[in-house]
Amino acid sequence: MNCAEIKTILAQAADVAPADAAAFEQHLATCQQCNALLAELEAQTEQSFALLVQSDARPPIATVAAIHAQILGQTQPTRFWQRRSARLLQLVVIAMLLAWFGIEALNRMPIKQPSTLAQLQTLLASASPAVAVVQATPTLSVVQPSTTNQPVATSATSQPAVTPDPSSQPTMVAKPLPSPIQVVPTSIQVQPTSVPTNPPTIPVASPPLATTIPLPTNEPVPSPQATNQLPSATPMPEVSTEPTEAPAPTKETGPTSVPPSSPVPTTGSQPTASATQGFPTMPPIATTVPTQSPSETVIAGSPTPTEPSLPPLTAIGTVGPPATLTPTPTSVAPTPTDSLPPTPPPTSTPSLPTATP
Amino acid sequence: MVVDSVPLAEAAVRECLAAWFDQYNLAIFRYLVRLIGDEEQAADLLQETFTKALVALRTQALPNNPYAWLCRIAGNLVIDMLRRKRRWSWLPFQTSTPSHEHAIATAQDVRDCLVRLNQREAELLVMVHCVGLSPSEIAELLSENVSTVRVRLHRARHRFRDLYTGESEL
Repeated sequence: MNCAEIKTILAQAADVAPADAAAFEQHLATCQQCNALLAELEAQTEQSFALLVQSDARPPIATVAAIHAQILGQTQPTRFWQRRSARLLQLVVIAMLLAWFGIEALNRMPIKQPSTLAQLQTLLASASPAVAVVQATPTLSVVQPSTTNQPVATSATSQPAVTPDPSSQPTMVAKPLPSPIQVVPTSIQVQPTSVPTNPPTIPVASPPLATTIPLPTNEPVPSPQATNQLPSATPMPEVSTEPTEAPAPTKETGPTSVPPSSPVPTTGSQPTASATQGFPTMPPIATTVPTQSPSETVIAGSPTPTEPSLPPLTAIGTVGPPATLTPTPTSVAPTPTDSLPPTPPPTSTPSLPTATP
Repeated sequence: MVVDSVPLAEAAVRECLAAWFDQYNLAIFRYLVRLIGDEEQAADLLQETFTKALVALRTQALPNNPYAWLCRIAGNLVIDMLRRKRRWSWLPFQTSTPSHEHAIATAQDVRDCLVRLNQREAELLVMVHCVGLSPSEIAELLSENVSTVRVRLHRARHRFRDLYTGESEL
């Protein structure tokens, strides 16, 4: 056997016959080159196996005790489901089951979404009028009355509510307008809404709670009808900045027309923008009473702690003795009506059709 | 290599194996840790080694070199386990690029080369280079000719070098 045959035997994968092994040993005893080759192979292998670091670890005491007991037959060998691989398999099975249940639950969950635009429109149409007003653009226009938005009479007011005919009267709704608002006195349809308000009700027989409001002497006292009619949310009159004369029945009760942005001459505060834009607002009541006017009209509302000896009060519009003529300004305790806008000018009152006390 | 050709009784086998366990459990455990690299798996294989030994001793006689015999059982269990791990190992998303870190030989490369060898060659290399047995001891343990064992050992080293060089050049 020569060196080439030695290399051939090394490269073979088949079993070595005993005769070939003996010949191999004989050649190695005489050939230094083959010995060097095999020594190099042994060194390289030993160097590679040196990477497998020797460990100083010790087996766990529990494991040693368990194996010892198992050898002596004191305990049964570890079951399959108690081994580590079995535990991992159990975890995998549990995870797959949980995932399957989760997917099934998601598939059975109904999804409710409005599919078409018609359904969305139906939902919007079924919404309440108040919500519709809030969502509308705060400008004014006249549209035909609709049967869905029926006026609701407020029971909080003392005045009889005006019940318009929805079939003949136009209904005011919010609608965007490209041009500025022009205030034009037209027929007004008062539609009291169900929005809770603080109406300046003037009960005639209201006892001690009262608020004094000065009124100019040269102007007539507005009728309770005019003061009690609150601008509702949806119905707003078309107004114009041009001063026009109001209709005959209440022409003398106040200024004929007032631009929305013009100051109100009666009291110090001005109507808020929301009042001109169709939101239900209440006319404020002056809390500080000036003493320049010779006569005052007392409105029931809140007590005046600074004047405990006031004479009996008289509601606005009723004939009674004049209020006290104390020249000192009176600070009236804040009442719920203090935050209301001033008394609206009776520009819109002339067209009230049947609002008679 | 076998002392008695007749198997012992069950009680005698158990007592003999218990004595071997008390004597060699630490050495076999460290041998397993060196081959596997994981103490927990080594503990599992230690238990499995003596379980197989107990089953084998019921049908065969006691070996002359119990340590080599137990190490052979443990080495075969390690090679089988490494093959199972290699079979179910995750594949990388992209091929590795030559780098300095890759050129450094690691213990895992040695294990991979052992797995890629055939069972008998890997067993020989492990018993020689990990357990420290001589070819004559291995021949006695395997009941084979010493010359044959030497030739097989040279062949196993040659194949291991080829595989290891190929692993390092990837």
